[in-house]
Amino acid sequence: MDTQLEVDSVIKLYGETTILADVYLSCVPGDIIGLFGRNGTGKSTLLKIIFGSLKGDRSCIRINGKIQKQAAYRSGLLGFLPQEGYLPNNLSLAECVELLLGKEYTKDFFADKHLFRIRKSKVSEMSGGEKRYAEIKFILWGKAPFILLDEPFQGLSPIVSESIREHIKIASQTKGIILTDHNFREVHKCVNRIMLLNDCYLKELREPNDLIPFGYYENE
Amino acid sequence: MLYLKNRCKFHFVFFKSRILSASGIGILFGLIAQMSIDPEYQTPIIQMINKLLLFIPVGMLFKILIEEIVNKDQYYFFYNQGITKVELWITSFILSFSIYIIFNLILTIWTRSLRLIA
Repeated sequence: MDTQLEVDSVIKLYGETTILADVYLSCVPGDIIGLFGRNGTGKSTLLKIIFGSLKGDRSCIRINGKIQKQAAYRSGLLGFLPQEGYLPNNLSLAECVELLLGKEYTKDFFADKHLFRIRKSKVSEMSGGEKRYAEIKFILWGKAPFILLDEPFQGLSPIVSESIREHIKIASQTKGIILTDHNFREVHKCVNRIMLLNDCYLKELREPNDLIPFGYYENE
Repeated sequence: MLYLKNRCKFHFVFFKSRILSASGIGILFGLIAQMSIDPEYQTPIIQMINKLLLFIPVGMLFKILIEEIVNKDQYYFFYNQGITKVELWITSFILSFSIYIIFNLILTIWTRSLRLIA
């Protein structure tokens, strides 16, 4: 059976306003899909519907050919990075590694210039950027074959963003990744598929230049 | 077995991070309730503690309710492990109720043994 995430017929309305209309998307390991769109076009909503933490008015999620009757995250085949931090403040980073990845990963996880110094810190003591970096690394190092990243580059310095892009590239060798971020220049550096949410519909674009009519790279 | 053990760890993390504040809220509720029943504080102290402990599960419910309104994103830590928030709520309530039962038993045994000694 092929490893594939398929999202079909997604419809979402907020009140009488349609946010998503008949959205279809498929993702296989090796894909790094950049999801573009202006504020309020439903990028985060779509990711949450795929993950299962938000209900669509209609949606069909298939993972490896199997329709997900309950929230898709219950299958353990999806990893999701929300916009806001998700690590509990009362845990230390080392405890998080033990819980999320297993004790055997501790050495490898902290063999990282951004994390070694703070390995014993509590999550509450970490800076916003450090926390974000650790959260992304946890998701990418997890067992789930499909990863959804909602604004992974938010609040990160260019050096840390570069490390994140490296982690994304390594993870994509075995996983399918869908990410969205307003920092489209960072996104373009690591994606191999581009999708645009515009007027409630999702369409696939061939190359970054196709985004120019939609307001991207206007002043360059 | 390992899968179950791992899931239990996550349930315990959720419970552990809430039990202190839930106890605080519960005891506060308990004190208010006790004051309205017994304004002259004539209830023996052991009975009063026992009644206050009963409010810990109530505090847990209240704490979860507040978080449901204020901070929904915290559940993603558990969602990523395939654990739903309803599962977390149920185990937290059962564990906090177990605390009440254990303390209740300890207090009962203690007061009875004191009476026996006297």
